[in-house]
Amino acid sequence: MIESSVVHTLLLESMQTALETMFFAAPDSVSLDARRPAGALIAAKLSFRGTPDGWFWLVVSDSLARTLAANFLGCEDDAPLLPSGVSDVTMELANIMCGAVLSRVESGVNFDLGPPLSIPVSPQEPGPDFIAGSASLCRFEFSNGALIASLAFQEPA
Amino acid sequence: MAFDVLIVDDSPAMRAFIERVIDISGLDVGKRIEASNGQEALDLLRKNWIDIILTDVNMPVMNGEEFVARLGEDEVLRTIPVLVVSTDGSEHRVQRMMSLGASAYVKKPFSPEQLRKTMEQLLGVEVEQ
Repeated sequence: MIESSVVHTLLLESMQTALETMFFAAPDSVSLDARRPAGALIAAKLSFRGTPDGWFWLVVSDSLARTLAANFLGCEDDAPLLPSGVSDVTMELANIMCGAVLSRVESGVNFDLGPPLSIPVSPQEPGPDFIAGSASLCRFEFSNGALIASLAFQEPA
Repeated sequence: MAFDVLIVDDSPAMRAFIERVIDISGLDVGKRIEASNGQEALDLLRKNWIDIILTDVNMPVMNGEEFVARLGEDEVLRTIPVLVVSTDGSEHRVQRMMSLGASAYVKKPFSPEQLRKTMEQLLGVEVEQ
C-alpha cells in the first residue's frame, strides 16, 4: 500500500516543478482544499495501469487554463487561443504530472498511462468527483483561478 | 551548419512546446519535421535526412519503444542521435529505451535549458548564451 502522504508530497513537488519549468507560473498558495473552484472549469482525467492501477484528475479554472496554455505555447497576450489548444495543453499537463508522480512512486516497475480525456465543465455544473477513491490531492491558487491535482490508486480487491 | 530535427509526439501541444524551446535555444536549426507516432516518423525518415530525433514513448499506432527498436535495425537510421522526451521517468523505462539504442533521456517536466544542453551534447555543439 502506498502512503497517501508520500503521494501528496510527490504531487506537490512535481506540480510545482512542472508549473515553474514548463508553464512559467508560480502559485500564490498551496492547500488541501477540495472545494470546486468557482466558475467554468476544464477537467482532464487519465487512467493508468501499474502496481496498482489508478487514475489522475486535473481540474483547472477556465481562465487559469488559458493563461497556462498561453505560457506553454508562447502565445502573445492578445493572440487568440482556440479552446482545442487550451484543452490540449491541459491534457498534456495532466500527462506530465501523472507520469512524474508515478515515475517516483513506481520507479522500479512499468506503468502505462492511458490517453488523457478533457472535459469542459460549465459554471452551473458540479464538476467531476475528483476526490473519489481516497485520492491524494493538492490545490494551487493563482490570481485568476485554482488548479486541483488528485491521484488515486485502486483499492486491492 | 543547420541541424534538421524530427519531433515525434502524439500531443500537438507538446510538439509546439519543443519547437518553441528549440527556436529560443540558439541552436542553428534548419528543418523541423513533426510526426505523431513512430510509424509516421519512419515514413518521414525515408524521405528526409534528419540530424537528431526527439521522441516520446507513449504513443498510439507505434510507440517509442518500437520506433527506437526499428531505427536500430536500419544501418543508416541507427546513426541518428535519438533523444527520448517522456513523462515516464521510471528507471525501468529509461534503461529499456537506452538498451534499445536511445542516445539520451529527458524526463518531463524539464526546463528549456535542460533540453538545450542535452541537444548540444548529442549534436556535439555548444551555443554561446
